Amino acid sequence: MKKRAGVWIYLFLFAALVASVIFSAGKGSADIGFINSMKIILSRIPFIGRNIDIQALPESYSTIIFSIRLPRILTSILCGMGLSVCGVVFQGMFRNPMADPYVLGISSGAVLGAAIAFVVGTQAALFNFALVPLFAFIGAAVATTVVYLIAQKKGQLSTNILILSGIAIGFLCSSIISLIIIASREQAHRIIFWTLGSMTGSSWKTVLVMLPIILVGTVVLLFNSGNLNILSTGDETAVSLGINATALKKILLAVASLVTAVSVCFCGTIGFVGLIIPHAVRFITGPDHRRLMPVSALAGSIFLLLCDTAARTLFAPQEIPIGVLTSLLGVPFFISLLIRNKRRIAA
Amino acid sequence: MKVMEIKDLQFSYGSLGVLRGVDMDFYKGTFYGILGPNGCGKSTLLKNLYGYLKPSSGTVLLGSKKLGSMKPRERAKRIAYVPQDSHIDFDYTVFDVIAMGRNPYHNALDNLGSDDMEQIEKAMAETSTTHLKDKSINELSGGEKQRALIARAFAQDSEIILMDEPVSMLDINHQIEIMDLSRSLADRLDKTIVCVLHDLNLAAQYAQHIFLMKDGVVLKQGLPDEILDADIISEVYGANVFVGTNEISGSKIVIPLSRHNNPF
Repeated sequence: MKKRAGVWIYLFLFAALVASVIFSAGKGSADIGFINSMKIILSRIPFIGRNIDIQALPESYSTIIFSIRLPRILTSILCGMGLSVCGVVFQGMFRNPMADPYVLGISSGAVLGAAIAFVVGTQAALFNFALVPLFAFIGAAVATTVVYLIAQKKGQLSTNILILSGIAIGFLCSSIISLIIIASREQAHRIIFWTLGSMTGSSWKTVLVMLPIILVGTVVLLFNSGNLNILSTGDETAVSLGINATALKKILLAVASLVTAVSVCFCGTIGFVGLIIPHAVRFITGPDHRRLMPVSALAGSIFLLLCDTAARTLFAPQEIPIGVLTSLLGVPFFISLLIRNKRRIAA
Repeated sequence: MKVMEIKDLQFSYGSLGVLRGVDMDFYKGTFYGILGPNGCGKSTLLKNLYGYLKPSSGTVLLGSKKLGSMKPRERAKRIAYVPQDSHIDFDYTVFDVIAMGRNPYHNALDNLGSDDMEQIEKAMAETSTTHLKDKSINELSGGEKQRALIARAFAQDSEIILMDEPVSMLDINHQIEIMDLSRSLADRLDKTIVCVLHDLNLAAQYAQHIFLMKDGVVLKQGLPDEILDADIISEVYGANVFVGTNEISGSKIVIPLSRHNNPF
């Protein structure tokens, strides 16, 4: 709130993001390499592109990068950005450093919504494309509201009850999803894929749908980052400082649920990104949400992009579901947070 | 000069009437103590004043303006609030917390202007928190934290500051420090302080006017010497007390009497 210093961190993270994009585009079963990948991407950029000669490189490289890898890279970036920003918002709003869309059961709610959409609308393909995100959003919104209502008492939120009710709602959603899987054999593998999380379904079409929603959602949340600072000190205080806390929470909850739902309905449940990133970033930026949020957005996109690149290349040709990878990283982190906050959470 | 007038204020949680017709007048530069047994509606009254709860009926006038018709930011420029629970979950610096008091004056994304800085520095000077400004709010002792929250309320530059049992969680040395500070805001800087208190002796020592509440209404009001009377207190609290005079301060002193070995 006082110093405007720290522009370097945006520059550094932006450079890291660009480097990660080039690196990821070059990595895979066709090993294009960093330099060639950079040349191919630059060749498509107006003005600079004219001076880059890629005649010597196989044409298939270009196709691989632009038709297969780049859409997947952009999907990962958008998803990582969305989930991290939502994590920041949920932690600030619920005044709880353990909150994240996955822990709060919101991702599971979105998967349940998507699963219902699969079963309901198997006929018309075009209809499905709109139906799945819509149902995922409704699922996410219902889960968020239920968890919130269970945990709140006269506007006060209990840390314990919030986490426990999030886990309970998450379990409930998972159970219903299992029932749906059993009941509808032909959709089973699609639903299972959603519950594990994966970027394999990404295409330019998914990027086109995700891009506006996640970008606009993130901008709306960024505009509220100052309000979130005040909200994070408690509802009563926020009201006394001239904030309409109820209206603000509704906006934040709706937008964050939408962003979570869009991420989940194209990439499945990817847990813990919204937990790890804001925590790590808070060490650098401090708790001021006006810096925490944009830095988390950048850091989250780099993190998820690198996770996805690892997921598809580590055990190639076998691909690890990215949700499994983030959980493997996230659970130890979550437990270490639990241990560190033990006294506070027990209180 | 009258700064706030409460007329027949009523509030209920569902069908449970908590405030059942409260009338109060507040004048500039005065320290008011609101007393009463648990559940009498003291805290609920404050919540109705800073906008957390909406009154079921009745009016609150700030000068000629009705509180109910004011926008949140407008209201926050007139009435500030120091909460009972000073816990803040994130490690904001003391400066950040105090600067939040400037929220009513600008959009949340604006940077602090020179007016803001001036008011924040004044708030820190008045509450002796300047040397703490770069510390995390969670590193402070109870008394320092409460001072920072009073500074935040002061930064709001409002004529009225509401306080909900500001010292109930503090040791006696910090209790006195915070009460002295609050009273001086009224005496020197013309703030109107409305302070809910648990401790009758602190009220006797610091309040210039006492409202004694019971069952959602003001039962008695007046100077501490008039209100702190053994009969009145036993009627309101249902406890036997001895009321004497504190020889050092000259204010009334209330001593609850045990049911055992009661000499009276």
